[in-house]
Amino acid sequence: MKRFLVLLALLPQSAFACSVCYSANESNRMAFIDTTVFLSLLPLAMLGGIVWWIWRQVQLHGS
Amino acid sequence: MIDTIAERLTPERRESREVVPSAVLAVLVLIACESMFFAGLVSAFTIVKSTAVVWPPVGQPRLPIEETAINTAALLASAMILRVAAKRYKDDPWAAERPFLVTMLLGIAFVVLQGREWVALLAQGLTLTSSTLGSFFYLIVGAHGLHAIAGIILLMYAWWRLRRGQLSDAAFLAIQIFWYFVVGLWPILYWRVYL
Repeated sequence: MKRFLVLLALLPQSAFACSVCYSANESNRMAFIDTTVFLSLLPLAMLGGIVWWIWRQVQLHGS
Repeated sequence: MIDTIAERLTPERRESREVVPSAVLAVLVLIACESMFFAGLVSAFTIVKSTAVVWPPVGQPRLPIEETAINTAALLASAMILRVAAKRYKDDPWAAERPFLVTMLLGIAFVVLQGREWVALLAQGLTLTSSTLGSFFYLIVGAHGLHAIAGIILLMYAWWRLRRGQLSDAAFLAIQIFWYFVVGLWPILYWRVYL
């Protein structure tokens, strides 16, 4: 049983921590950071823009 | 008894006022969703491109930057002419007919030229399965092309309604916003995918 467990422990290949992080170069690291910031801010900016535009329309029609 | 809100409102306030037309709001929500769709695609492409040692991949053709610049100019011109149509529409709806038609023709020219470009690239060996460049190129540019075709169909519908004198301001504004989205998105895709 012990031999089997040792064999089992040796079987797996070394795994990457993240399934999509397949490169460790600087440009790849920066691309991940840039796109994370972009994808995080874009929906907030769009929703904020739509809400601001509707608020402005309400103000214009109210006055 | 507690009065309902409707009962407490004065007759003037009870009247519903359409501050933002429903069609315009629907298009804005659609554009927000579509923007996230394209942002996801462009982000994925940026990540994949950043890992490549050689770009374009070995054996794959270079994307036609110069020819596509002409397509881009045609598309940008269509948006400017649509702006002219919108300004004319305010004073005299019939005066908007011609610039509207030019907008549609420029949009059609963009799609046709893109189609020609695709045929040439396919002949050079860039297919959906030939490389990551091919996969992303046809997915991103194809998705934009479908939006351009949808925009042209909407412009045709608006033009037909305009000729019959049945085009509403809200529908016209909604269609304009969608077309500006299609046009505004393209330079970003051109910059990220082609350059």
